Amino acid sequence: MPLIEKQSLKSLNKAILAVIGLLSIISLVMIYSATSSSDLTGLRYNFFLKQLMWVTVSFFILFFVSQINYEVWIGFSPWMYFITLGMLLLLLFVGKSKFGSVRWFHLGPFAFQPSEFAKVVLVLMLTKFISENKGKIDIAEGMFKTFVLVGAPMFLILIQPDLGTTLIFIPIVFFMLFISGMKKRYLIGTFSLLAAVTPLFWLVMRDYQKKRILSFINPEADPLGSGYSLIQSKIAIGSGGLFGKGLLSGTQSQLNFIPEHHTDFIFSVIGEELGFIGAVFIIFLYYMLIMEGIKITIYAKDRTSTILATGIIVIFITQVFVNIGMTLGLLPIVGVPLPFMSYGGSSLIFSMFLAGILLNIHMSLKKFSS
Amino acid sequence: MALERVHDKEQKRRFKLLIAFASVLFIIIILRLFYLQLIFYSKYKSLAQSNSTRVVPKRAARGIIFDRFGEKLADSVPSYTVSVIPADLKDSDKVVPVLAKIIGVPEEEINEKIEDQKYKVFEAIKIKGDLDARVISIIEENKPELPGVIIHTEAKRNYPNKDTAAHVLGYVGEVGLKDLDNGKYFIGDTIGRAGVERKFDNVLRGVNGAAKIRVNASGKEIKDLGEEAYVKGTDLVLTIDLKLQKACEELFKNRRGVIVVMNPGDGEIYALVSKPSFDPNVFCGQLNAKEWNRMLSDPNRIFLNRAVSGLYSPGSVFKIVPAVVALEKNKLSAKDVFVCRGTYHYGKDWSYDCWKSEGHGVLSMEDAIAQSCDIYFYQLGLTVSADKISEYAKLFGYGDPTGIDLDGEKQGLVPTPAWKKDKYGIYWFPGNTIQYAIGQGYITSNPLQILSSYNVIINNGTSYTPHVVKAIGDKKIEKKILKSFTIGGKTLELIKKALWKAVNSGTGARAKSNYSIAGKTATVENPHGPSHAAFAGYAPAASPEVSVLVFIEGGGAGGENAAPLGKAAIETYFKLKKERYASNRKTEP
Repeated sequence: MPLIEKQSLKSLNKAILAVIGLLSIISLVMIYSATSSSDLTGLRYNFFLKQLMWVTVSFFILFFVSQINYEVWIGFSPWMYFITLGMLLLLLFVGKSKFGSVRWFHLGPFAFQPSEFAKVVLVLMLTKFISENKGKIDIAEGMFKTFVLVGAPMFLILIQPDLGTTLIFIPIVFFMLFISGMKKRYLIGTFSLLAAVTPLFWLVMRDYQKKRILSFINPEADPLGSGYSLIQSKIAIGSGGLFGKGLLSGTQSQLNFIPEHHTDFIFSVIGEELGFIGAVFIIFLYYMLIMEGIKITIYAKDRTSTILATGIIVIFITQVFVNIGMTLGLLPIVGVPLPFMSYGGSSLIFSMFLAGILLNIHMSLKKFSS
Repeated sequence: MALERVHDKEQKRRFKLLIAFASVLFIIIILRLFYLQLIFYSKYKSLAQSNSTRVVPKRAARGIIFDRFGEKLADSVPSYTVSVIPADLKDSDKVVPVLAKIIGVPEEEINEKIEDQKYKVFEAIKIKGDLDARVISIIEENKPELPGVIIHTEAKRNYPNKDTAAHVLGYVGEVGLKDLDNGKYFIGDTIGRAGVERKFDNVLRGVNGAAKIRVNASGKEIKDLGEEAYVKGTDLVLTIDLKLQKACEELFKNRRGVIVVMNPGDGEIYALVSKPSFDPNVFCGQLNAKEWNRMLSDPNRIFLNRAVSGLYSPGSVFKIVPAVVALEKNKLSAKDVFVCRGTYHYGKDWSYDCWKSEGHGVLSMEDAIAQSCDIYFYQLGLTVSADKISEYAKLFGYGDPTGIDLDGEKQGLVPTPAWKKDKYGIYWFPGNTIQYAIGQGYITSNPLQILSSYNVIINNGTSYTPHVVKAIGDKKIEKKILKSFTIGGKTLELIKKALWKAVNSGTGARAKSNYSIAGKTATVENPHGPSHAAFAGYAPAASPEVSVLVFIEGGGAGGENAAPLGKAAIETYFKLKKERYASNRKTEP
């Protein structure tokens, strides 16, 4: 199998490219708006220019990855899997603490979250595992192996502690196994094992993490404490109304009532400044991306690419829902960025990388069906 | 979608579930957006506005209250408040202990207040108000050690005459949470809680203004949104004469009760004393809960304005009412007499005493009033009937509020046989009428009603609504008729003569004065203790310009104890009038 198949860029999925392109443009506009407040004078274009650079770089990555046979990544996955586990272990000892938990690695100017990396790697590794063990996972031994494979990174991320990312693994793993055709009773068995171990995770949970969950249940109970961000985000979005307050005019965003408003809470700025119409339009873009992705999984040429595409799609679904759900006060605060929208290079590169694989699967299917 | 390409039924189901999963999550998001942005838009809009708009109160200065001659009864003085701006506190661990020591507030309390406002670090936090000048000067001296500590002035209500006329003036307090709801007030605003301060709070308080500032999340000023100017409160001029009021209060010493001195011709009250009293200044500073509870639980009920909220039997001062009934309804004439032998027997089993146990002998109505003979009135009462007495009692102003411009007036009770049947299910006995005729039994009244009933006689059938406010700003309060009905000339002549006689040769002899006082005393039976002493009178008898009511709780005999106070009040009134007349003449060229 050739490493790089000669394909013209014309055979790339136009809908996905268009959606990602639109989201990136909106992202740059919103980051500009979110960071132009007076407190950041002098840095006014800083965030915007940095993100412009990341968008440019990540589009090259998107095209590059789309030209590389996805099976290459699956081939690398065992290495990457063990490197990731190593990094997660290392992170328990080093790494910079942000909000009381240790999640970030700093390599020169590039800071990234191994948990983000772990999500992608697990999808690749699980794809390899399922496709190489066809028929063997529907037995007790296979089920137990699946549990270990999935449980190891999840446990390491949970004790960081990063409950949000850990929970995001669940639908990803579930749908990959589910779409791969795993029998229901083994599916249930795998998740029962995970559920059985969960109380042990709770024992090692730190106070700040428990506080975040409690503040989610009733953020109004402590309006100036951990519920502050959630309340301010809801006020921002609610006060946007139907048409929004206009770019640069959201008082909640511009006056710094929403913390992290250019990263994790970028959707609050969208809701406030673009209103219901703007927010729904952006949600519609994500929905198009996901439906186009599901189409690819259905059309995919073989079981391996179906499973891989499913994993990628569910990553997008969960990231979008968890992030927006958080800004809407539906979910607790978890450090999940909004794909293609939040400020930050590592998140954008991961998203583009996944989209690139999706595009490649789409191309291979085109070739296959032709 | 592309599902028709999938032939495996189970696999088709599984793809469908994935699509459903994604769709449901997106629907949840859209519904939530709909809920927040469209249904609850206005709620979040106003929350966002209050988040980013800081309203700096520009409090209206409260109106000044003057007496009828321009003496200040209530004004506002500056008081000093110390606040902290967290953003300017260089090192709160160093500053807070120093500040705590100077103002005598525990460190933890200050730190708690700062912590409570940790997201608004540019906004001043009030630490303590009403500081005295000594503390202020210490703070000023230590200014270099106290960065972020600021002193500003706030207006404080001040009553220069302490407890004088406290029940007329009332007092002020800080607005409560309930008052804040209507949006007229700011936290920390002053609001009238009793007396004129409360009744006329709307005019005294003026209209608050506000400076609006756009602030960011840390409370830092971003933009000036403009200022609404305040409208100063309106001044009040009372009908009260401070000097007369003071003199009347001094007459009372430690006794409990009421003196009201007023102009019967227009209802203006010159003095309204209710004792015991209180100093309204205590509510203006830092009133502690202990002090407040002590005042509230005082068995003497110092906050009760007895002139309007105290209900008593009127006793013998009521006798003029049945007397008028008898004459007006032609039941008795001036020449008709009854005999008083000290005890009156009704039927076989009942007997009623006169206050004078040896009896008054043969009495006409004029003498019966002057001597306050009870037995004459027992028989008069039975002659005219209770219903007729009640009819006239109402005309005289009993049983209805006088409508004085103070809160808390109790209207008392004018009983009737029908009322008794309704209330207790028993018939009205002749004994009830006997009691009623001398102002005892079921009838109750507040002291102002009693005085109003004498004003009816003075004005030949008319009384004016008693009031304490003479003018609101430049607007003079017009007199209002309270009661007006026809009383025959002969009747009035007899009653007035009898009242003059009562003071000059009867039970009210201790009120006899060169100023020609007429009036009536009462010794009111009190089931709870010693009798109350009362006196209602006016002067000069020929053309009255002042009327007075004295009511001393547990004061004993009215002639002994109340009449001299009535006389003193009236004489003070005339003395002050003469003094003012003299000084006016002196100042004029």
